[in-house]
Amino acid sequence: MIKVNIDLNLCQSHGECVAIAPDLFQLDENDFIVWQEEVDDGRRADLEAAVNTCPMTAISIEG
Amino acid sequence: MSTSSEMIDLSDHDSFVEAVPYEAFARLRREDPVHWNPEANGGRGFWAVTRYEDIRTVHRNPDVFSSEIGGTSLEDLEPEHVEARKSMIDTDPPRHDELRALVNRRFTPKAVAIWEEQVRKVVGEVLDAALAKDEFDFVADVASEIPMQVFAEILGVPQSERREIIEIGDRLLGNADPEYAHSGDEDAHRHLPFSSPAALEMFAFGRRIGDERRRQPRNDVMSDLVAAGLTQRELDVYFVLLATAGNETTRHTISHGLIALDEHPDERERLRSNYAALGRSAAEEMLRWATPVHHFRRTARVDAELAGQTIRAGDKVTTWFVSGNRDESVFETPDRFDISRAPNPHLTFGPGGVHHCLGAHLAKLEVRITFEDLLSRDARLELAGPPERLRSNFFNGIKRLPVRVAR
Repeated sequence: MIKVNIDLNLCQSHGECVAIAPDLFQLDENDFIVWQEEVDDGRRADLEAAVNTCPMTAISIEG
Repeated sequence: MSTSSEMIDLSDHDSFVEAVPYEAFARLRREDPVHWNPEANGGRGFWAVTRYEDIRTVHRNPDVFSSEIGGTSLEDLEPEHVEARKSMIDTDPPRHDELRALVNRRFTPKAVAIWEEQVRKVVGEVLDAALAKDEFDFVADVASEIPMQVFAEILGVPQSERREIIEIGDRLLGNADPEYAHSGDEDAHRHLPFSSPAALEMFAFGRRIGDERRRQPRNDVMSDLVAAGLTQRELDVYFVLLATAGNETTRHTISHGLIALDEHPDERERLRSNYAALGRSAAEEMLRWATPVHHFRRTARVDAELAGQTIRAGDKVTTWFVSGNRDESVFETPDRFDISRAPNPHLTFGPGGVHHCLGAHLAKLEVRITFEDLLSRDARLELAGPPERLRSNFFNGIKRLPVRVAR
């Protein structure tokens, strides 16, 4: 499993990660980011795309 | 492909005086989406990018389309002038990210949510005072007051001095409008934001607040900035950026929102009858409809191709959000004001990428609460005369908006 962290002091809810993997990242009704914290290894490509695309470099992954 | 002589001149502020030239933008999107616009005033000309997807491409590739090389305004500037006046919006990563990190935590959705009660209180007081009159200027009494009162608290400006910021800001940003333009030699002020001497007054204002916060820090943005080890000039231009961006853009959105509701009474009544369900989407539609900033500029760092057009290193590239927000390939019936539009991926806060508006969540909150309160009242506002538009190809500004109160 891959662990996904989002630094909420950086996240501006641009929604770039949501556009890449809407099943892993969502914005709630108040525009707060909600995300799946443990993700299957098979989704590594999507997670890396989210990490690299985030305008605020708020997303990091471990494992 | 059309020849440029047949097309609108986007460098001419007069093209925006009567109204936003939506028809001309539709034609550019259709016929020449990456259009070469010569400049009559001695400028070296620029590319005008008018389609939604191409605008996104430009903003998502700062390695190709730089904010830092020539700044983000249309003016041709010498490198030393770009350097002297560059604020966060005129930088690329990594410098951009360092500057943004100084204040970012105060503008996240979580941080902004804490301000909701304060925004509600400000809106209530401002509307109480304005609607006690029979006729008033909506810009002066409501649209400019709400953002500035809210932002004064966040930035750290005493409420007693907020009108001074508005007044200096109007002269600073209205530098193409004869009402505000300074008389004199523009070349003498190229090292200042907007090439305007009013920037010096804003610098002085910011320095005074900064000095106070150095002696006695508070829980506000200016305290963060003076503690960050910036040079005096970096601090000066940061203050100008925040004091103007946190105030003028939301003001114009609120003014355009009122005009839109006046022109679309069915939508206004639909919103009034179900604000809880429609308030958020209505605020987004007002943001799309208003597009308070028409364009931003980038400069090509290397040779590039965009929608089949070859762009040379050093060329100025302008991206017209006002056009992207009406792009028929993205928005169904884009010229219709639809308060329940969904999805509504407008470009008003920028098309993504690192420069996405810092104050986006605060602006959305202010717009939503303003109209929630206004539409919940028995008293109704009616336009009492035509809006007075700012002469500017940069801001979709409303200078005055006379309204009367129908009781």
